[in-house]
Amino acid sequence: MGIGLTRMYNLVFKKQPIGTVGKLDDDDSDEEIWELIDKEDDEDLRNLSSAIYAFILLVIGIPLWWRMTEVQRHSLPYAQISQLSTMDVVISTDIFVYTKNPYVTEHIIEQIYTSFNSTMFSINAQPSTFINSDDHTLNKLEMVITPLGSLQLIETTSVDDIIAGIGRNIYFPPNTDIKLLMDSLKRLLQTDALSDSMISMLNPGNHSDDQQVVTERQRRVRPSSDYNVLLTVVNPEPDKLHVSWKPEIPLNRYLQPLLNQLKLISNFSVQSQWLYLIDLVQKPPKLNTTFVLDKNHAQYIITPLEKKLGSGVSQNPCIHFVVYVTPCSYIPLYFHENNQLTTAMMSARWGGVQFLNVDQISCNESLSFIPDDLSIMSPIITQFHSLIGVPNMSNYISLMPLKSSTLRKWQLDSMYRLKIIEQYTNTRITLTSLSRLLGEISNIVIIEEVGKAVTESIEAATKVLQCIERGQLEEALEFSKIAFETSEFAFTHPSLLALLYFPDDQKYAVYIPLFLPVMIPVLMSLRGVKNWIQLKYKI
Amino acid sequence: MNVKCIGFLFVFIGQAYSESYNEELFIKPLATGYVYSFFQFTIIREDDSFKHSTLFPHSLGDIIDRFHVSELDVDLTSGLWRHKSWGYPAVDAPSGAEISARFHNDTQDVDQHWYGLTNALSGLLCTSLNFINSANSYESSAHRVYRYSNLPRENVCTENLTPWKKLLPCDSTRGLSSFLNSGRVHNANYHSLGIHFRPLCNAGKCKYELRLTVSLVYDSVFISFNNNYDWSLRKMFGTGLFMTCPLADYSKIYLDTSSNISVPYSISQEPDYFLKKNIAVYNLNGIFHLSAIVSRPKIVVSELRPLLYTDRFITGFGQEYGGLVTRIYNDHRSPITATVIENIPWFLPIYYHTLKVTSNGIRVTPKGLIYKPGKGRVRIYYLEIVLELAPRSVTEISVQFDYVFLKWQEYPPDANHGFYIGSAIVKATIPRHATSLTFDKSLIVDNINSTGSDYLICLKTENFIITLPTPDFSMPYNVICLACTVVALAFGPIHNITTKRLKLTTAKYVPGLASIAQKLYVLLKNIIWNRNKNNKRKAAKVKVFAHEELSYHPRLGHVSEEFMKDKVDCIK
Repeated sequence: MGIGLTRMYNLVFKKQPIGTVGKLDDDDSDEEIWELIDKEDDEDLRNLSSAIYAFILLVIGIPLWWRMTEVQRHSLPYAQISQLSTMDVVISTDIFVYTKNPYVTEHIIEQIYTSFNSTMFSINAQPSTFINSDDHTLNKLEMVITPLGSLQLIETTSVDDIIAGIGRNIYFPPNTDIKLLMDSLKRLLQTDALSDSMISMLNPGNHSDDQQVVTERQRRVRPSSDYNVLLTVVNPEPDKLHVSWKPEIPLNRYLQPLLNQLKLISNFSVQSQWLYLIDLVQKPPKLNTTFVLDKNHAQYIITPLEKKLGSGVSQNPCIHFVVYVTPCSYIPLYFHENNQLTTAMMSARWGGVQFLNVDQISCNESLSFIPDDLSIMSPIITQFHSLIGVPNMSNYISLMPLKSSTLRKWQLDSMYRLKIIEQYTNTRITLTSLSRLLGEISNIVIIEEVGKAVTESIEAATKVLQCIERGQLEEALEFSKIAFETSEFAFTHPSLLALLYFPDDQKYAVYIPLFLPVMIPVLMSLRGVKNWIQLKYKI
Repeated sequence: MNVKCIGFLFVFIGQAYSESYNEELFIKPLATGYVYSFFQFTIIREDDSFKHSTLFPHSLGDIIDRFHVSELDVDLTSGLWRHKSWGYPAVDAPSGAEISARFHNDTQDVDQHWYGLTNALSGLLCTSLNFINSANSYESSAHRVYRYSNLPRENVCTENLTPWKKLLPCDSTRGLSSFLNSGRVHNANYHSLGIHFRPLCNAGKCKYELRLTVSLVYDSVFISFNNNYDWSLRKMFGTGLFMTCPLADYSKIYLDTSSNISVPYSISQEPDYFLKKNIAVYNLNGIFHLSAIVSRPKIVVSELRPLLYTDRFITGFGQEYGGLVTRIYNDHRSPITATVIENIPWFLPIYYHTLKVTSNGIRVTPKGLIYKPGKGRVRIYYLEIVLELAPRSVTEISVQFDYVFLKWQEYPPDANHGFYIGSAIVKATIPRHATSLTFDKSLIVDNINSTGSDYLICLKTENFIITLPTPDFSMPYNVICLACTVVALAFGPIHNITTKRLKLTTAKYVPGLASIAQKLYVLLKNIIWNRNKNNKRKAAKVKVFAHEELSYHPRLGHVSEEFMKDKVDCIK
């Protein structure tokens, strides 16, 4: 470039005197100078610097800015999430069959394989090896221990109908219709309820054809790993009537064994309180000698109570049981349901209400009324069973009577299965919606903690499937609990929303004053750079 | 029969873990024409697990259980208690919200429980206690498990009273709580809602006491319609009592008649009996009304001036040389040991070397001093001074502070309103006879009968507002815009200089819109020009004369003959 400049300089100076003398050369020499100037211009330099500007801004600046203003997203295993929904749930279950005649046994096993057509179960039927002794009284048979998750069909002459035992045994008399037996088996394994709960969760609106299965599902409280159970005794007239009752004693006695049995499923925290001076909003009409409140009017009791019931501290769902001591002027008070009078009523997913009708003597003579624990607790236990989803088989199969409030072993097994399916399906839905949300809303932040929770949840969910396929119910339950908790944790983590309300227009308001004036000259100069490159390399 | 026996047995066991409930109202006409009424609803239970309760509010019990609380004091106050003229209240609370809690000694993560507790209580009472964080609460110097915080800016209103009333077994339907009508409560000159929970342990056996309190001070002139000093329950609370709470063991109203000597008044109802000569007691069991006629209204100075009272103010002018002065007046004839706890927020950094304690103007050294320097946005400045107050003296604690700039997001809404600085706490033990009433026992009746010699008082000083330098809040956006403009303005020329050269070139013919426009212009111009040329020809038909056709005029020179004829004649 230096040489170019001096040459130009010389040229101009040398031409100067000639120019003054010979006027004819003037135009020629000017053109020459301009040509030279054109040629020797630092065009390369200028275009190079334009290119560098463009490079710094477009190649370094914008990606850097993009990276810095990017919404933080820990990478999630999207492929595994979508894979979850393609995986089938298969619960493998052992069924042991015992009859005196091996041919009959074989026949029943064959029948089980041919007639059992649920996609969710993989049945492994085999002749029983647990019964050795020849003593076939029911008591003795009940002692036979069958492994977790399995069922044992036992032919015995001690029964005259199909009876489900307290363990995992089902007794049937000889010459039972095989179809009837298969039907009972399906009921006991809850094939309908399981598929219904899964279908209804995955596709809201779809449900099983069996109305009872649907009602039972709708009654259940939402899945959670912790529940509060709150028993509220309401005495609307503490001045007229003194009720002497300590709810914690019957709660410990009747409910606690059941809760201990369910401790693998979830933790229950039992509390009780008394409330006073809460009147019935609706005056119950009198029918003959009794006062009757329609079942649909239960909200008139629940609504005024609701605002005083909970503490609001716990995030866990609460199962409420309300014992409403009937005011003296409305004794006896009943709920009216399907032409029947009951004292207790259940509200789906919420809890139950029952009236405690005191005797007139306590009312008149202002004596302390001591209610009967069992008569209060038995509706509560029944309602609790429905609320947490204990299968109700009494309509189909005769059951061996229980001596306590605890569950039969096969009931507990089906509870396990139900919870596994519920929690697994919930996890699947939660994770799928999370990944879909992330695709749709770009402002959602995923911090590392949430990312880890999602990964953990998927791992646990996969393990759930593996475990139930091997028939390990307890392990599967544990994994499903982990999967459920971690997925809920990830989905409800407050950090997700950190940037959700930062509107785009504000970003533009901040960036445009800087970017627009800087970008225009840089982008405009790109055309020149392009021409220069083309010229230079003769493209 | 057997079952019933078991039932009886259970009842018996049950009653061992019983809960009791009492309702009390203490009314004291104050000498300056105000009436102080103090409601106390006391629940005492013996069970330390709060899972099952009969009278104890379940919602509060759940909170106490969940966060391992062993002692809790929450006060929501609006107005200022004037110690000098009103004496000592039953519960001393500074304006705004105040909360202190002691957790179980074995609690591991105290802070986590503390924030959980404040959040739960803010939900329970509809207050802003959820704004409590490490920057506005402190842990006591003596107890690891004790936390204290106050929010002086908190407004106390009906939304706090309604959930508070829900904690009462009888709600507001029966009993003394039916006096608490939100319209009237918030008409008072001073009102304070309180929740006070504490264990009462004696020889290893503990009881748990929950006191729900309301303090109200009414101006009797304001509530009476005839502009006199008469007061009555209806004038104060808008209603009389119709039904007592059936759950309470007893409901009582106490009327302190000690001021009757200086300002005599007559009461409409004879009391059931007197306690300590001048406390009239009414046992409530039905419809009740009480009114007082003050025959000779006159304002007198309180006959029993408090022994100890405080004053607090800021010094300095503008936003320079800020200083904080707390004065403690001791009117007792013997020395009193007092502990002063100042909690100064982090945005008011104090200069420790300027701390000065004087007694009647003479500099003294405090008996004890604990100072924990604050830390911006994290920790308050904690100053605990133990002093021996000389008899009949004024002790002044002064310290200087700085006004700091905050980050723009740290300013509250309406930043120009100023920043509230919470009260200081003065704790002292005074002789019990020095104050008309003490309130350290569970029930008011026990307090009246108490014979102890010392009484621990806890005074809360005034709050104050300071104005920190407040910026213009549109500034950040302005700064962004301005900075961007400057950058853009600088960038343009730099970019031009480095990438462009001015260069002389011959204009090239560029076919385009401009050239078409130019052509059109030229065309139009030609047309117009041509027309003008034609017009000129028509208008000026100049005849050119030949030389011989002209004649000479001596003044005008050569002119035409015609002109000559016309003009020369004229000139002649």
